[in-house]
Amino acid sequence: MMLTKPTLVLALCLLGSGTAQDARQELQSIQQEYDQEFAELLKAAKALGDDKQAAALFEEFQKTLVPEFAERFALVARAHPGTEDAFEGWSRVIDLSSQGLSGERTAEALGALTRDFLTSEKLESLAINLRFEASVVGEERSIEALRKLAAGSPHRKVQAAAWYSLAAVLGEERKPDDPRLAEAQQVLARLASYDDVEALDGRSYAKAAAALRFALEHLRPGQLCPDFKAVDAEGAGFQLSDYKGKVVLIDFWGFW
Amino acid sequence: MLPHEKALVKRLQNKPFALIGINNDGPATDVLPRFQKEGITWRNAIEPEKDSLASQWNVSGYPNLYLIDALGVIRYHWLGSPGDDVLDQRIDELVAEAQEK
Repeated sequence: MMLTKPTLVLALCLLGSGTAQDARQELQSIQQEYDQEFAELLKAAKALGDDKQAAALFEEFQKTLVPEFAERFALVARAHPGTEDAFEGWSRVIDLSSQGLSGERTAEALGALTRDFLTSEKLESLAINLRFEASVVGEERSIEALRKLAAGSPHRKVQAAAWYSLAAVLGEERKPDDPRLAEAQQVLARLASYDDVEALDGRSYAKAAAALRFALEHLRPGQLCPDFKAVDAEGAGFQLSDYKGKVVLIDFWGFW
Repeated sequence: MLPHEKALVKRLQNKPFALIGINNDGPATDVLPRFQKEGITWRNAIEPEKDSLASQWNVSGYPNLYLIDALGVIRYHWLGSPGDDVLDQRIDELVAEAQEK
């Protein structure tokens, strides 16, 4: 299950003689190895049947194997700067933040992606994902990368995704006088002109920004909950204000 | 979430508390049989295809929870469950608060 030294040495040798073909194959084989390790982890966790022990297993995986794999992806990326393979390698490093990777290597990946590939339209997914991964990647670092993408990309879809993620990260729950909240509002105002770019949920970014603004302005703890009207499963209409005098837990959910 | 929600609804049935689900699994004709099968007895809003509450409130993932006190003020918001124990504790605090008034 552990990554052995010889594999790493082999990887380095391959890179030394590195053609583009080799780099592509190397990235694929690292990814396959990672997927295999992850599948084994899931199996082992399931076999344990104990939540606490399973959590410990995941923690161990994130502490040991995830940084090792990140370094292997980074090695390929560093050896082929500015190429498609570097883009792939650094993107895999960022992907590992969903498995708790943070720190220097993530910073290096973000730096390379926003410096060497600023004109690539493939940065749209980075712009989208940073919203969800900012807490792991690091808030300041994510904000900086998003500002760079939003202001520097020539592609409207990358700009829109980056402005939107930037507004969402800046607009996290904070003290009311935090300057990041005011910047979030400015960024949202910019998004009004992106009514021609579609967000993930099919709305335009202009519409998505309006909804985000509503959430930032009216759905914070301490605020009076906006009333809403709805129809229940039996077909009866009701509204939130019908429940005044009661504590209400509103649960947005779906069957999986 | 479901087993805990069932327990919650049962435990607080005579208290000033209500659980309202906002469900987006499709029209009532599809979901009502599933609710009945799963024993979901609490009220669930059925989301319309267009202009759903989730889109108006910019809900970006499930479960997304708002806990409102008896005066209608949002007291807690969680994207992703905070865990059964925390949820129970916060709800009990607010219910106690409501009963004092």
